[in-house]
Amino acid sequence: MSGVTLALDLLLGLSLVWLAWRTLASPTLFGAIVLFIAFGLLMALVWARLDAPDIALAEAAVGAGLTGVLLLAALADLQQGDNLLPVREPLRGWLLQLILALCALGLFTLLTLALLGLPSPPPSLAGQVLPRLDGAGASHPVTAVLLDFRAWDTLLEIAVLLLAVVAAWSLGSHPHPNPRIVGSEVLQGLVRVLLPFAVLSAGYLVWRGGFAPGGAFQAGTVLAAAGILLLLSGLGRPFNGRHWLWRALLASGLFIFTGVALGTLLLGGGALDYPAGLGYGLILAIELGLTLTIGLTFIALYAGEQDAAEERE
Amino acid sequence: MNTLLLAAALLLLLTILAGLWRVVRGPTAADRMLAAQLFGTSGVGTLLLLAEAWQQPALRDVALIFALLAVLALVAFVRLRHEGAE
Repeated sequence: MSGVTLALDLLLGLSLVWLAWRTLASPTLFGAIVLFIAFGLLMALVWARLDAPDIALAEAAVGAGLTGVLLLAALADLQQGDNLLPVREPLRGWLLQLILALCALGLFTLLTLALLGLPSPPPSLAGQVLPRLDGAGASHPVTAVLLDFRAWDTLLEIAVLLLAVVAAWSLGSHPHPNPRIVGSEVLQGLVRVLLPFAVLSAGYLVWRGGFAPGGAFQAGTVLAAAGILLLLSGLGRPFNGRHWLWRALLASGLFIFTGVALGTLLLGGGALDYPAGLGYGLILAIELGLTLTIGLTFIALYAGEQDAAEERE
Repeated sequence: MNTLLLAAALLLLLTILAGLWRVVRGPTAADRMLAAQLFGTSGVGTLLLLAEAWQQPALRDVALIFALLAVLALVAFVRLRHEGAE
């Protein structure tokens, strides 16, 4: 390892820990959100360094991109209510601090012991995945695991996303921003330029997922970013979660996925056991449905259920 | 060549850390947000350099996502900010 690489590693690792500490210790919620966005960015760089470009992509899209907006929207909600803003009080009492410090030290020791106790080479399932890639519907190992070997897990994850939307909607709706204020011309111009690129990139990421890092989660997040930009700029029609079409689209990924599972089950191969030759097509169909669903899920989480026009009445 | 690319990435990372100081110190919310915005640009540069240095073409896609989504937080900040935020 060269000296430059070592310096890069040290800098990344130390600044990540420092950022995490500053985020937790930030006296204001807004400061914590901005630090968290920066944390997401550094985290993506760390994943890139750890040779995990798939996770780096997801972290860049979700951690550094969308989470910031969701948190800012939540903060705006908190500030709209009177004195709902929780006061951040520092921990009092030296005994409590001592106990916490000891707990943290104990956890650190355990983790270090676990890390040192790893057999060499560390346990990995790569040896089982790679020889079977030829028969899978995707040549990229991560996609093959997510949508072929362990497709069942992914199916349930999508169901969880839908549940998250239902839970968020049950908490009431807070359309952002105030629908009466339309974005400035500069903002609208920017969104008009950016939007086609975002949609194109989302399509590119899904397609690329078949044979390289990429896939529905990253693509869906980019799509959601485009949708939220539309809402923020006031260019798009307000999102209306009560409309049957939006609800159908929200559930479409789960429908397609379940449909494929049932179809393969009826064909006799077992649920999500794709027939030979059809794997790539089926996975692409599922990924496209998932992209739409994941994109809409984020938009629905951001916008809430109610139509903004309804709120005005 | 590789060392040069990595050294340039290291330099960009150092500028990010310098920007972090602004995020922590503020003093206004706009200062913090703009510094975070700068990270998006530096992050794109860092990732492109690392993609070349480590021969990891997928990192260019990460840079693409950064470039596309960096603006999102700023727009949300401008549009959602209410009076009295900080």
